[in-house]
Amino acid sequence: MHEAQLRQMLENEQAEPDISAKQFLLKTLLWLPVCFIGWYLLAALFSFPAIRLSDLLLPLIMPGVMEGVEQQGYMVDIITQLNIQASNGQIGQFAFGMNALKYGYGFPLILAMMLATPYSFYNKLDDMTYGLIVVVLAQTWGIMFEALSSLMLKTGTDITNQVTNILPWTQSDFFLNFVALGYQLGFLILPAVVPIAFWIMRHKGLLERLARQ
Amino acid sequence: MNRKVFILVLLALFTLELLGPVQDWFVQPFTQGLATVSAWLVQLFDSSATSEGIVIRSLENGAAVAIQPGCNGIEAMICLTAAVLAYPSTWYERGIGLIAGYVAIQVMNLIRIISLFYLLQWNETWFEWFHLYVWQALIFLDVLIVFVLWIRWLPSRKQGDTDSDNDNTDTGVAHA
Repeated sequence: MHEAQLRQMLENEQAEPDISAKQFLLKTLLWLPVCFIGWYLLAALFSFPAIRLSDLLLPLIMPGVMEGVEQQGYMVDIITQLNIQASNGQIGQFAFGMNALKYGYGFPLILAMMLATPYSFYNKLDDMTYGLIVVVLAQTWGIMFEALSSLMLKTGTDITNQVTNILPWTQSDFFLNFVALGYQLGFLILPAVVPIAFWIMRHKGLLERLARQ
Repeated sequence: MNRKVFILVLLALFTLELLGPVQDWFVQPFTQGLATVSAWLVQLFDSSATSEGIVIRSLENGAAVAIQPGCNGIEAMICLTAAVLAYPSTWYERGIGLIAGYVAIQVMNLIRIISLFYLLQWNETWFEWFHLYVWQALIFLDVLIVFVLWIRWLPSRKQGDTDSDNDNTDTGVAHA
């Protein structure tokens, strides 16, 4: 067999399967509702790593203020060591809740785009694993900064004063601005940008081929 | 595509967006303009809708949506800007890509705002679902679609492909 023929055979074997832009987008749009439904049904499971990470990190950042984070399905309860007085005069432990899913909707999008890519099962699994990691990090950021901003910027002076008595450094303007910026970044930017940025950076080659088809 | 440029532009523009003066002079007026356009579009076929500042309200049942930061498509426009600037092309091509892309994103965003206004009146659960998760994902998918279409259109890229075919090399993309 000629060398050129052998090279051609080798190239054919190594060539990545092609897909047109239209096919890719159509497949992504078809997979998207399926992925959203699956993600919502397993929401508690997908939210677990980010909630667990927040449970580890928040008490470390604010010792004596944060007691921990509890999971109720996809809802998160932030438990503090602060006291709050109810209108009837009773005093209780201050806790508040939030929705963890609003920081994690990038995962079904990554999943849909991954399922639409013409790669092998193992490559898709690889994508899914890394995709899950980046979404979990973005989701953890979102949960943590919502907790911090609720505590420092939204709940009123009674709670804020208790926090600053325990941790005096939290009253600095730098910290408060950092919390405000971190919250905006975590709510407005990271959940939406992470999946697209992740896909674009990971599939530069496929992007080129989509454009060529 | 230059990943470093992509990440740097993304970070720089997001930081810029969060600054007070940029919020006061660009983000808030832009958001208010978007609310006015959305309300005007709704009023074309629904006389019971009215707008006030960033709020669109139904006079029939009182349901109202406020267009807040995060609902204005600016984050999607920033993401597209970073991708377009990081891709090898001429400044003219980038300009065309950005203008066409911004229009595509804002058209999609207007559809999003109007659909959310009616979803809220129909069913609050579905409104929450589409507001918090589905539309956010779709807007950013729109960014990806626009970006792929722009790469397909690039005249310098096509020229580069032709040149590379003639040279029998595999450089693929013409650089600015």
